[in-house]
Amino acid sequence: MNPLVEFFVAPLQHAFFVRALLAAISAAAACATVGTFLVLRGMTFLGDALAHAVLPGVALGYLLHRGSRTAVFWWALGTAILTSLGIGAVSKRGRLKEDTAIGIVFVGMFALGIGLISTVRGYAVDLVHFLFGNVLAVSPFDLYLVMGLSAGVVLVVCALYKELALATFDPLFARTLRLPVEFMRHLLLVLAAVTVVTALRVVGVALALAMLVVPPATGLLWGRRLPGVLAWAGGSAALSGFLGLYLSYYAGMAPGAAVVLVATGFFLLSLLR
Amino acid sequence: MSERCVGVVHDPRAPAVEVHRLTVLRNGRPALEDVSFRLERGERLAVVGPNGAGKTTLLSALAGLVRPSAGTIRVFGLPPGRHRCLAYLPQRPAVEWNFPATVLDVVLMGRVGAAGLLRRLTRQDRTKAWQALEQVGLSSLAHRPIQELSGGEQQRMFIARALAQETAVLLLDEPLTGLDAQAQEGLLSLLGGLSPRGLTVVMAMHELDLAARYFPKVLLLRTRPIALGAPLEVFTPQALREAYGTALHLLPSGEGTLALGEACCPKEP
Repeated sequence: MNPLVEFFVAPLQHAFFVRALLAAISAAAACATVGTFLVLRGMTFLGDALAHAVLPGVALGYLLHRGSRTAVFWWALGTAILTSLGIGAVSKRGRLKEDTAIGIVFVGMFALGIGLISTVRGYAVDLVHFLFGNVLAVSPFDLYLVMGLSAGVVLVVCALYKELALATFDPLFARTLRLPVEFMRHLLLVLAAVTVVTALRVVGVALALAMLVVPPATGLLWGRRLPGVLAWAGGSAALSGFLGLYLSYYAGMAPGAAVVLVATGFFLLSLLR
Repeated sequence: MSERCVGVVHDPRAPAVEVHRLTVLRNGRPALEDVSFRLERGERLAVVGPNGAGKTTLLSALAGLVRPSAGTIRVFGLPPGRHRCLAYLPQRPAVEWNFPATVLDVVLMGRVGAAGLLRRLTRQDRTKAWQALEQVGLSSLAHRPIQELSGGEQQRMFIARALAQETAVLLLDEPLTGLDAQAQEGLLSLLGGLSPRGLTVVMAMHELDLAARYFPKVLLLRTRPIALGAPLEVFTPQALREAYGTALHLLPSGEGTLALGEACCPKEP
């Protein structure tokens, strides 16, 4: 067999690798789609906070349903959505500046998560999984969840594309058109929460931000119009997921880190263009 | 400029804009007090006055973004919050200039309200966007990224977006600031050309001379309305002194009274 074909085909004989590949590609594409809007709105710090704030939810799910990864998934999703709406509410009427409010929620929740996990003996291994992802251990059911949620996120963005674009570009004009600007802001936060949870499986809490920010940044360097930017972001993200897992397979590297490294490589190459 | 705007049926006998004893409080103090005027379809009004006179507040209230504390606003007989046929161009559009879009993309955004949720823009929407670009003379720049536009071209793009929206009332907040003299006059004659087609314009501005030359109607404002009517009736030495106080220097000259705004120092950029 051609060595190049062999290079790509060989790992596919492992079912776990195929599942990981599909999970990584779909989560990356969903993150890139939502991330593009977050980047354009200057809300990336919020995405980071969201990713870290999920940890206590993950920890609780883990403590309450020992062993059930699916339970952890739902707990993470619930926490992410609650946090995103909470941040939205706090930053709107608080006397603090938005980034300060986000920073407080961010570290508070993260500390709570680490604190909860550390109460379990031998926590270090599990903590590493949550922080850096564990995509090679994705079960068939997990894969369906990740793919279903990713597809859902992309569908919502497609359905509301022109409204989201308008509210991102010119919120005041959107208001004079009677578009529900506040609703769309919260919707975007919820979408970000869902994508963060899918990213959690692939790259973990610590690197989820990378999937929200790096591919959209690459897309913005290539595309001149929003559809092009989204295509470049989604494409480079999916390719990063794909190549990252092969890098992980052959170099024995943590898969999350490998995916993020490939995505960052794409960004650097795009800068040099 | 159509007879009826999307989503609302107009009372065709009602004036385009009718403001009755409008007062707006901001932080408990009146930003605008007891303002009344009416504009028929296709009329153009210049709102002038010193900084902080309430020009922006008036436009925001007309756009339905600020609630009146007292008094009423009617646009074609209906409260302003119910219209899609009313376009507001703020002084500094709070726009993401890094947004990846061409001029045509932005003008097409004017069609989003009419298209409705979950619907894609149609060929008809694109035709209307192109017609709007034609009207403001930007067709040749349709595919240019918005980051590459000059200040005057940006203003024209937003006016084209308002036209694509099929707006009947256009509210502009100091659109002339930062434009060179040629671009200023270009914009004003463009708007003058649109009013015979039924576009009603309200523009806040500082340039009294341009207001006098291009607008049939002027409102001189200093929280309260000081004078309203044709430029020659409004720009009297007494009214100007009342509006601008010591910031204004009136000199007698061969051509009549000469008004100097800032006789001291050049305006900071």
